[in-house]
Amino acid sequence: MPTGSFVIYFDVENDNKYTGTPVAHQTKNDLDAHGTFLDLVRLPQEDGADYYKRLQSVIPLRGGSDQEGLIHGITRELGLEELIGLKITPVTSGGVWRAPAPRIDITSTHIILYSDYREGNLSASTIDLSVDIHSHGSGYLMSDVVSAIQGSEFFVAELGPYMTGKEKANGLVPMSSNTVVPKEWVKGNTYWFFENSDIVPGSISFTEKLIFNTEVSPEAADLIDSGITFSYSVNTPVSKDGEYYIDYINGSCVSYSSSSGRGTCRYSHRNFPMQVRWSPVVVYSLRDDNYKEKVFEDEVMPDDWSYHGLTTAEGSDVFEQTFQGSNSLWGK
Amino acid sequence: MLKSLQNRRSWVTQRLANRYPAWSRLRKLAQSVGQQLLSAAGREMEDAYWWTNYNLGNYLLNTSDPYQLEGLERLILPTTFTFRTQEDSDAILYIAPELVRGKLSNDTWVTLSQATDNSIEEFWFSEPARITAADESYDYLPVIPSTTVSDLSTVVPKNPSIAGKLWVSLSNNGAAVKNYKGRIARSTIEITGRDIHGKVAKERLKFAFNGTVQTRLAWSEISTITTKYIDSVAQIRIDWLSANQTDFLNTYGLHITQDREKFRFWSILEKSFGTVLQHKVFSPSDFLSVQEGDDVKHAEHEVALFSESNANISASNMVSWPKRRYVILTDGEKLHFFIPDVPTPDYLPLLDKTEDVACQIYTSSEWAVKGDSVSLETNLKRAFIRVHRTRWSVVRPDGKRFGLDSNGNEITYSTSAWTENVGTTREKKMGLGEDPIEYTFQMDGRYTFYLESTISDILSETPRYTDQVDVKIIEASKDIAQKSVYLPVSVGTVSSVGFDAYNRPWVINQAGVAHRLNFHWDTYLADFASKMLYTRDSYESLEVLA
Repeated sequence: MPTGSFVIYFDVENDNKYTGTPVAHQTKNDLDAHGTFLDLVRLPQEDGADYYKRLQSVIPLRGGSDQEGLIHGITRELGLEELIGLKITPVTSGGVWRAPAPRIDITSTHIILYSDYREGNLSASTIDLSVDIHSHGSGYLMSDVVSAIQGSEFFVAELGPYMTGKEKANGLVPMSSNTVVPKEWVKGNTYWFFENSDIVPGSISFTEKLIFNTEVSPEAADLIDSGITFSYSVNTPVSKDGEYYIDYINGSCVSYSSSSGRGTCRYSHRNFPMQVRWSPVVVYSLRDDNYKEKVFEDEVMPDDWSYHGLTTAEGSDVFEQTFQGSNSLWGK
Repeated sequence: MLKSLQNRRSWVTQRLANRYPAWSRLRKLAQSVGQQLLSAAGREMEDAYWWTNYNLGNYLLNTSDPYQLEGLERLILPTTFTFRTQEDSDAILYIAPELVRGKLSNDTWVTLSQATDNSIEEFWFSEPARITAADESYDYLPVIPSTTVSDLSTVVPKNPSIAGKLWVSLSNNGAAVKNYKGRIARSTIEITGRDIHGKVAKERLKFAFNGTVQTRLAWSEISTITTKYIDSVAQIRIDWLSANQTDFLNTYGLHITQDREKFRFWSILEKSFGTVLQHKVFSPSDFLSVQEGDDVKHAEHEVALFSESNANISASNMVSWPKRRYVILTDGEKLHFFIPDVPTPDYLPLLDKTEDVACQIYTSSEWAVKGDSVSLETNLKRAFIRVHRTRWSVVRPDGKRFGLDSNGNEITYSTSAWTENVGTTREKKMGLGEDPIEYTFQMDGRYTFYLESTISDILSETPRYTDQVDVKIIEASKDIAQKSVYLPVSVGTVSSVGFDAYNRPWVINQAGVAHRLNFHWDTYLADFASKMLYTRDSYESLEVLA
């Protein structure tokens, strides 16, 4: 059609005018290539910055088949965001923690604050406070959790930087303030540092039993007056073969004989202030005893023995929902 | 290449010119014929350099551009729809639709324009046409307000409202390289805290200059800030927006002088007539002079800034748009989008120049801005020449031609205003030894200086007089915004503009509230053969009139 021969007809349907609704047309770019590599596809019409943020979280917050991995994975795949929900710090007085051996456990139903946690001996440990975060109990919303913990003389809690306090507290990701280091190489020296500080007393075991045979206590090492720390050059706490001394706060070790450098040790240490993650996705494990208490009626038998009996109202609801979605049948 | 980049001087041109001998005109003068030829290649090479850098950045997630070409909307036209065409002798050309308009969710219609030359680059990487407020705002609190190093321990860092990479600014620090007990060390700021995933993190930032550095890690919380080899009077500031920086390092380009390669910074400067964009340069390679404390940035070029409607801008703040070619200025109610490179003058008046002119114009500078002065001198290119008479004149941006007296004053340009018996060169070529003429630029735009001369060869027995003209163009640089776009009224009067860690635009208003913005382009890309239109923004419906 030559120029100028064009006529517009406004009043009749014609081939020169069209009104329609555009539809999304997703093109792939280099972010999607990163997504392929990290196994995270873009959500329909997802904004570049949001996808970029989700991609950034793949490596630090690994998805997996355990409870934490499922929370990370599901949250990310749904385009939701995990946040730092809570920050819990032990209260100090005179430069040391008021609690003799603090530990915080976040279970699927409770926040348990130990003031005196004995490694491997739960019955001797002292629980300072236990906050129910599952039911409409003391800690239903995040702000309730914070005020509940204010009641403790050993711990203080505050909301994470991007929380409003209106979030439901059962989204707190189960974790513990104490982390087990299953294997760490012992450095071939007489004075060295662990890779972590705040080590839990009584949690350390060495493979080189002859070099690390007798632990010298601060009292025996005559270090009590100068606090628990010491200056290696001034007062060596060890005096004969097999003796070793551990500064649990700073995470250092002094032994009389030098380690070979090929031995390992195992210990647990505390991470304070503790940062508790929060996710809008809540995952329960049906093998979790804490959760079982909520979904089964506790049948208390003579001699203080109990077992989980019939399901509670919540429990039957959960099971009904779960098995509606799968082809499993009761009893099969 | 973006069309608006094509008439900009490229830094690569001078880099290519520096491969030529130091005595060549090509190396020394931006207006030499050689550099005019090289500039075409230099411009293209800079573009290739920019895109290589951009693509390399996208190779790593941490340096990726979050806003790469993505998320388009497509309107499929019916098969019976016909675009207008024009029959040429060798082809049939499609003609862009007469009208394309889109209906927004609030039932208003906006007119869409076709991306320049229907190019994907123009479609995605050019400046926006419309700005709306996104549903996100915070009271803007920097992580650390500007704090003297000696007071740093008294400041409690605030959590960034948008967790991510932060901007750490250092100012008033003397030399960036300190000689401490015989050890040479760089000024360092170390920050510790938690990253966006809550993990304990530590990062060390080295400063080669007073300025701003973006962190490599993404932060949600800063707990400690320690400084090393930084003066106690220096000031530190940490921000979660790139707003309020004093200058912006151009990470995609350099400033090349005739003998050295330097870093390039952009900043704005207030002048009596409005705002100018300043190009500052810094040479980090000269280790010795840096050690002596000479690490200040020097202003190199200035360009007067004008809005899209050709009026002087009085800007309060500027920002460099990350991963794009633009700098953005705000005057409170609008955002102005500029290509920050110096505009190339129009070299057409150089055609008046006599070929192989012997009596040439030498100027102290080839770049200027309104209010600057330039000194004009004569320079003889050949030996054994007698200069019988010279006449200086200038054509101002308003098109009027004036003669110049020896003090640089504008006089009537007439046939009589010649300077007679100017001088002679003997064995060597040299300048004529008269005082330079100082001329001040009172306007924005192109000044063309003419030096007319009558010369003869002193070696010939009967002198043969030759009239010659030399021409030199000096642009009192002025740049008109590619776009000046009104900000939404709801954000109030804006005092600064910035980007967050995810390259999203924000403004901070005078009440100190940061509002996130949405840019809208309102452009379309036409696929004429397949009868489809692509848009960047979403519309409830699109109306196409061929």
